[in-house]
Amino acid sequence: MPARVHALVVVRPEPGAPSDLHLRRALDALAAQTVAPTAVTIVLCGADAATALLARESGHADVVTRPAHTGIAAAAHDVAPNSGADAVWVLTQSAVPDPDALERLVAALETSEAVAIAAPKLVRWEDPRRMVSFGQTMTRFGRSVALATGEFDQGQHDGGEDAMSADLRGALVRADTWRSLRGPDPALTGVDDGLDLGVRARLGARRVVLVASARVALAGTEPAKELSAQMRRAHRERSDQLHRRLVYAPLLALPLHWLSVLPLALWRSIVQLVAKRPGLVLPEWSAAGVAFARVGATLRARRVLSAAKRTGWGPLATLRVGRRQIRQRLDISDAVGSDYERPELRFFSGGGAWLVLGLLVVSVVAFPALLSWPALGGGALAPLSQTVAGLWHDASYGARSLGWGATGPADPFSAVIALLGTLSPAAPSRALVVLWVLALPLAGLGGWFAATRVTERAGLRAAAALAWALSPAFLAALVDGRPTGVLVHLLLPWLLFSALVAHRAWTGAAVASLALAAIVACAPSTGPAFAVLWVAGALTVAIRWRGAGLARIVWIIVPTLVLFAPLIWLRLREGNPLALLADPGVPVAGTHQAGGSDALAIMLGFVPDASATTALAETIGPWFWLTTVPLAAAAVLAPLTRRYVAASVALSIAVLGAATALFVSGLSLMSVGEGVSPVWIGCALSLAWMGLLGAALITADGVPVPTWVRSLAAVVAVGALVVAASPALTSTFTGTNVLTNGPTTTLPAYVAAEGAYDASVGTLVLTPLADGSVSATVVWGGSETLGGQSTLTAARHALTDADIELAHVSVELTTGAATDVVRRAADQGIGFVLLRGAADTPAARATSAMAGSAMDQRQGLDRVGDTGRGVLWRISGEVTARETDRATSALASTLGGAQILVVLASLMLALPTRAERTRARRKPRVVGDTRGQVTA
Amino acid sequence: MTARRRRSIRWIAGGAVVAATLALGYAGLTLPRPTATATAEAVSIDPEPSATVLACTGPVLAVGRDAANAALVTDALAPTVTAAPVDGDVPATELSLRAVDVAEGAGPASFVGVPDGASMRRIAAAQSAQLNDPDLAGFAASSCVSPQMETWLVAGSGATGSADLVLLANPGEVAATVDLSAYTADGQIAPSSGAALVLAPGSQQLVPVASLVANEANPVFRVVATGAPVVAAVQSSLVRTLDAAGLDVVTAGDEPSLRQVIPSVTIATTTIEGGEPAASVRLVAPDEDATALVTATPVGGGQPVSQEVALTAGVPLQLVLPALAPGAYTVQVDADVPVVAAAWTTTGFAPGDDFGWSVAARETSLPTAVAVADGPAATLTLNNASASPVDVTVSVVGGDSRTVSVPAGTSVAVPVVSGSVYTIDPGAGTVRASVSYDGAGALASYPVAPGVADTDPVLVYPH
Repeated sequence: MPARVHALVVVRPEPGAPSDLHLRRALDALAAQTVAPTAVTIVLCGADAATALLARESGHADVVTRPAHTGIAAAAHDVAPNSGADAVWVLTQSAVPDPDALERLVAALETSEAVAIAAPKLVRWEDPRRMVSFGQTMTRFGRSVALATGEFDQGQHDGGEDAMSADLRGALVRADTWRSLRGPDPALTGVDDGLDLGVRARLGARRVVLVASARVALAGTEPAKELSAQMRRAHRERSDQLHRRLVYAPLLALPLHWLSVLPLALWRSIVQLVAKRPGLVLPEWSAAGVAFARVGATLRARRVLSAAKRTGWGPLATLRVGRRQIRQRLDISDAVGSDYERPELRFFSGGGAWLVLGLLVVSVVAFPALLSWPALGGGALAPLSQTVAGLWHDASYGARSLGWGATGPADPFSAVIALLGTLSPAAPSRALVVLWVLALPLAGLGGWFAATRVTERAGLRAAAALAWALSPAFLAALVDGRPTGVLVHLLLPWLLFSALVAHRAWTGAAVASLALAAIVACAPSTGPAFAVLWVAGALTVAIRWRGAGLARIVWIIVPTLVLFAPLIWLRLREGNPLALLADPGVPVAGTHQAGGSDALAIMLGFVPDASATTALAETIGPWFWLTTVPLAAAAVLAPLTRRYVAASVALSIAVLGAATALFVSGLSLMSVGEGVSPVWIGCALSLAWMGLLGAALITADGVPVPTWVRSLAAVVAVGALVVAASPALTSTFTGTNVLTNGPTTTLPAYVAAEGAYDASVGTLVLTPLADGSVSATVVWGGSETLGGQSTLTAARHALTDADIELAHVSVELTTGAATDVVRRAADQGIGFVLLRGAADTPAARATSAMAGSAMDQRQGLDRVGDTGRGVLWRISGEVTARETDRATSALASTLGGAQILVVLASLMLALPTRAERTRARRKPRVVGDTRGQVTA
Repeated sequence: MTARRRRSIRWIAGGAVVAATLALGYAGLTLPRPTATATAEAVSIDPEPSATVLACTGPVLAVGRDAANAALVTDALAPTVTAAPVDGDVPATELSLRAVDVAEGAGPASFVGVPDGASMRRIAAAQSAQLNDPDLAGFAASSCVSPQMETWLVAGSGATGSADLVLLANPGEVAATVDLSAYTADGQIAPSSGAALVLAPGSQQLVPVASLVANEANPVFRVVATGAPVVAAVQSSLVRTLDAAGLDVVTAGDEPSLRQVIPSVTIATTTIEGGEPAASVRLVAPDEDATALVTATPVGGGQPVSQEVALTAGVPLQLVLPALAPGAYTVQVDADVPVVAAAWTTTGFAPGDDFGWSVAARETSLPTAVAVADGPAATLTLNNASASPVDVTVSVVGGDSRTVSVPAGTSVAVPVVSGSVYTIDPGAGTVRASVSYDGAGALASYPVAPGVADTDPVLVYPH
């Protein structure tokens, strides 16, 4: 019996493909069939005018028009098969069936009444030896798996004819089955429509057969590379899968599946991030949202299925694909060779480990007392909050823990400190002590790894690591108690190590993004320099590699921007952008040296005012800066070597760092007491040192000289640095360092005990200054802490109403004014007043005596006593608890949530995967060396 | 591209970068660097005025009038108090302090002037009493003064016949802790009966001098308060054999300084009976050995008499003044280290006579108010210890004023009406002043406390 076949040609224009040409090809192929279809319906889904004209003039009977973006399933669903048709053949405009394709399909259909669908072998039109799809199946959990995709057709699949299902394109479907199943499910978007139709046919006790001899060629099946296309594809795959899951599920399990849709999206987002596919996070959510909201379509599809269902799921189980088969398939696709073999890292054999160990010994010898200290003090150091909750409270938006009534964003540095303190949850302050002890070895470690990006020579790597650990700016930060300087110096090598490969690996970009966020959080004054470097890097990637990996480069600054966004917004709104450069942490009073006489020392890496520099100048004289000249000379000559591009980049970093240091050396952005606090230039100098060292290393690596000359030069340069470092490393014994043991709290023990676990305990701290004036502040909680500092108040450009009120309260308290000042203080939440020891001048002593006597006589103030940290009074009446209003806490949650989300995303992207490691092994570790290797 | 061409490009590009780096380095050395310095923002605040608080010494107290309880202290006589507000018409709030050591004691009066907005409310007050009881007779006058953290009392005696009391009053709102130390022939001592005395707010306590310095005829007391300032005074009375021989109430004098000036010391008699002098000066150099020159100059001008004495650190000296003609004298002590001084004089040694202490007055350059308590022949003595003459405006509050010219280095006596309040304005100069009384069997004086300045603005750096 010659079957009557009704062919459906669905025309869905695709961007970049000439749909009229395709349609003509398809219609010609249709006309050339050995068995002609009895009817042809062309479904135009938003086709252009030329295609529409072609369809109408083709002489075939029906042309149906549908809106654009109608899926193939929906388009086919709407067309009822002709009443006389025995079967429906679904084609698209890009399908070109072989002349005998229909004949063979019809033959397959006629072999048995049970066969409902006969599917051809889909091959590429451009390369008919490559298969596009030959049958479809699914895993136990319902993920669709197209069989034979991308494989060469060697007849390897021609034996099996039973399949779970097949692609809808080219499939011949028995008309009665089509009617009883109501055609393809219109809710599907073109990925799983064939699979679904086949599964439903099988549940209706019919079969799906594959006809290897019937071939249909498909044009334009190469998967699109653009991210947007990938995202669209991922959305369609996931939403089809979710839809099928909801349709196939037993009724009892349906609510559970429905409720799990959104949580699963969260989990799969994490998986996508860890798998370095951040672009596919959004489709997870859009697909989940669609599936979650599309209750009507789900229920309709379930009704159709239950009406047609004849058997259970049991018979289908054998047709599913198992985990082992999938893994085999993935392994095949992974095995792509490369001729480059990355050399071993040689951290242990190359002496890196010994160097780090040696630096640990040096550190312990240089700071012997540190091991027994519970907390560090002196310089810009302060105790950390005593609880982990307190640490993170200081890092979040809201009421600041210093000041009369300051509310606003925290410095991102507080988050860095919170993270550091969380590493030692029982005694957060101890984390800083450990950091100090480990600083030298960690600097050596970071320096060594960063050097692996520049040279493969073990000796030079060790020299570079040593030079990095002996950087004058770093040692100045250690001796002068500058936690920001130490952290920046420890993080910079890792930024370099990861940022240099950021364009080619998500792990690199994510690590760089986190390192950059931490560095800029510690030293906002280096922000502009990093912005320049980032723009240069982005331009390089955009031009040199035509934008490949630009998303990764963009991501590098995202965490930094998100962390700083609230502060930036606030500073711009109050018209004080310069304050963004202020050093976070404890402001240290100081003065600038007049004139530019110290410019040379700064450019050669020294912090002029640091005690280590002063000690060096006293030891070896005013020409102390000669100690870094060998290194600088080597660096300046680097562009004349073979790797002149890399050398120029390194020198630019050095110039940027030095320029930043010179620029900020004239800035004092914060006030402390009656003085100001200059910006610490050491962080910018660390950046300059990185560039200098990198350039010098390129020179040392690339100059064609005998090995002994190279070694001698390295020994001379590092030896000079050892000389420069000696005053700093012996500072504990010469008494030139400012580090002190503790204190664990800056307030009297009485307040510390009460405020350690309660940040709402306010203490008004009054300090008589040398000229008889008074410095006043309010400390919340048990101690002034490192994380609780805020540039918000320390670098404000005008007094606020809160400041004025604080000044009035302070004066009224210290002069015995006949006002209700105690009640006003109590209403603000202040429970204690501390009068610190006065400076040793008559005016300060007079102020102190007046203030003490006035507060003694004040009703409502109970003198607690003269503690070691000043005289303390307690407010005896009712103290109003410090409250956070609802809007502030809502804003805090929103901001905190967004910031945590971005940081977590970075962390997941930073986790290395096997695939990435494999890929990284095919690239050289050294960056910017063109010697017979690819640079990217 | 040939290898040679590539190499030359490398040399040119590399050389350009090296040159640019060196040029930038030179620019860094020579170009001026930008500076931006935050200023430590300070707020200068004129403090709100504090309340004016005065405490008087209270009723004259009698010890041991109850035969059954020799230690019982009772009120002998309530004083006459002269008080008036200096600024404005609003009367000051008058309170009565609790006399915790006196049986049914009325307690001393205390005055509080709460500031009217930004302006201070000054008050002046003084009290006096004349007794003729068998155990207590004589005239006593004292001014009501602001409490102080440290008070020097140069008066009193722990010898037999004296029933002297140290009076401590705390007119404030919080408790005060008082430590009394005494300078005696044995140097400075801190008697346990005067250690860590806690004065409740609004109360007065007594410490018998005999319990502090038994048998010491020549003590000097230093009263140090913590927590709140106090008003300290000595009530001194003497019984010779069985006759009451005088009474006085003495408040704080000047703090230790190189110069002590007692503006008016009234010499009523030249008699010396039984070796007891009619006029003497008590001096102590608290901390170091000193040499002091004591000079007595008649008020209104005249020939000074002076005498140089050596002082041992911490040991009070009773210097008998040479015989002087009756009249008012200014006694000035100039020493090489800080000293305190006061003068004792008596009208005589017969029953019905009285003695009086005159303490050193503090210098004032500001307008100051003085209340003149009831009493016979009240006189205001103005002393100008400086090297240039001073014109002093003396005016009755709400009444007439006149200008008194005080030549350099002299004192001028101005008769004043008892029971009224005066203000003294030294203009551009500085003066010391005291009020003294001189009648038959009535001798007393008290210093005029210096005026109180508006508090200086305070500079605050809020953070």
